[in-house]
Amino acid sequence: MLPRERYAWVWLTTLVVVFTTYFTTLSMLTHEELSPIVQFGLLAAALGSLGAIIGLYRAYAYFRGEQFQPDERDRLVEAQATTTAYYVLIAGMIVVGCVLPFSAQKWELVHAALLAIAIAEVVLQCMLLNGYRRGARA
Amino acid sequence: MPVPEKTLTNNIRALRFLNSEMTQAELGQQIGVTRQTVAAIENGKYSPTLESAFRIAEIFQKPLEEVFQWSSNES
Repeated sequence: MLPRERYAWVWLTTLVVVFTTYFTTLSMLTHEELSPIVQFGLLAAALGSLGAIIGLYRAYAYFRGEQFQPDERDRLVEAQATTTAYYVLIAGMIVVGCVLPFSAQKWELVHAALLAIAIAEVVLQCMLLNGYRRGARA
Repeated sequence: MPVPEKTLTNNIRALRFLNSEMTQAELGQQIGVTRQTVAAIENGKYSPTLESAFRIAEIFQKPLEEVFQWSSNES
């Protein structure tokens, strides 16, 4: 497996695990328990663990001498995946920026934006893996 | 007006074996792509850029049309 493909798998798995845990934890807490400090703490823990896992993997790959320089196929796969993920992100941001402000609380907006980013990132990694597995055509 | 469906096929696998059983990694190294990209080209999962196609033909010292074929799906 190509190092970039393996990296996409690691990203996808980490994203799904971290954000599923994050949003499940949020949904289990009552409104009284969700003080700003708790929400900041949860957010910091989620983003910190995401950064730590990806950082550790990159360090491991570096010491194994894996090359991440993209070739022409990688660039094509990446361009196609990024285009799809961009539309998902834009759709999410329209909901967060133009629809939710009329009804949602401040932290709900933060969580909705984070969810939109997470979904767009998951779509990006899925599209990358699809491009590597099933082929990419210009 | 519908454009007839055509696919790009190639003889890279055969040409590699005729050229001292060159590996995909060796060919990839010579044209500046990964082994996986060469495998994808051979399996028809990726169409190389024009530059890479010419590089591959140059390595095998064959004209481009002997390496790549632009054929119709209806056969």
